[in-house]
Amino acid sequence: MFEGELKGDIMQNVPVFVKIDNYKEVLDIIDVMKKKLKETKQELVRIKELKAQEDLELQEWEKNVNEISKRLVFIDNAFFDND
Amino acid sequence: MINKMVNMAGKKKISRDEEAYYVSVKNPLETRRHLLESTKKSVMSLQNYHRLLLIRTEKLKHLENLKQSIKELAYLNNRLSQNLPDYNTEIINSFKKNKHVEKKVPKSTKPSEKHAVEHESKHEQHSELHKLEASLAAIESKLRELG
Repeated sequence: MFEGELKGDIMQNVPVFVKIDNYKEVLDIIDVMKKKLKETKQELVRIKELKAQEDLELQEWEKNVNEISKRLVFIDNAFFDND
Repeated sequence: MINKMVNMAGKKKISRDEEAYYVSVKNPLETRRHLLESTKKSVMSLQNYHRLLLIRTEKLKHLENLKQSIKELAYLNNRLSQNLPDYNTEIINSFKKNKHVEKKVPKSTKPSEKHAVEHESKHEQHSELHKLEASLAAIESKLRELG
């Protein structure tokens, strides 16, 4: 009966009071979670940076390959296109 | 023996001369420059490759750290929810269990369907993705209950 009323209150978004038995433990867990989240965010930032670096390297790689193919055309013409 | 080798070498030289093919290069300096630039770019491409390998190794290391952090967060979140009152999940779960029992009873009579369900559950056990999908669906249904 009580649970049903409580559920109803939450569904209506009315403020409710809940009992927390291990208050200290909950606070500790939240504290650890905050630290862990901070670490996770830092890891994500580093991964994004590395991904950007990876993209740059790939772009540069593509540029180099394109330039090689252009120069190869010139060399090919110089040696084998003697019209 | 030595004479033979000299003869063989001589023969080779002769054949090489016969196969020789001369091409006029109109702009030798420019051609040489292009060749050197191409070589330079090839070496630079190899450098790119090795830098990419290093970046990927570091990225994998950070991805592993991220995975570990998320696992720890999930564990902590679980502990947190254990310490907080969870009247809602009990009610919803009991409600759902009743519904499932009602639904599953007639299904169990058909052996082929039962076999299919067993196969599906076996597949789910092996797949981490499926497990995560199932837990996501459970959370979403709880959120829907809240409105």
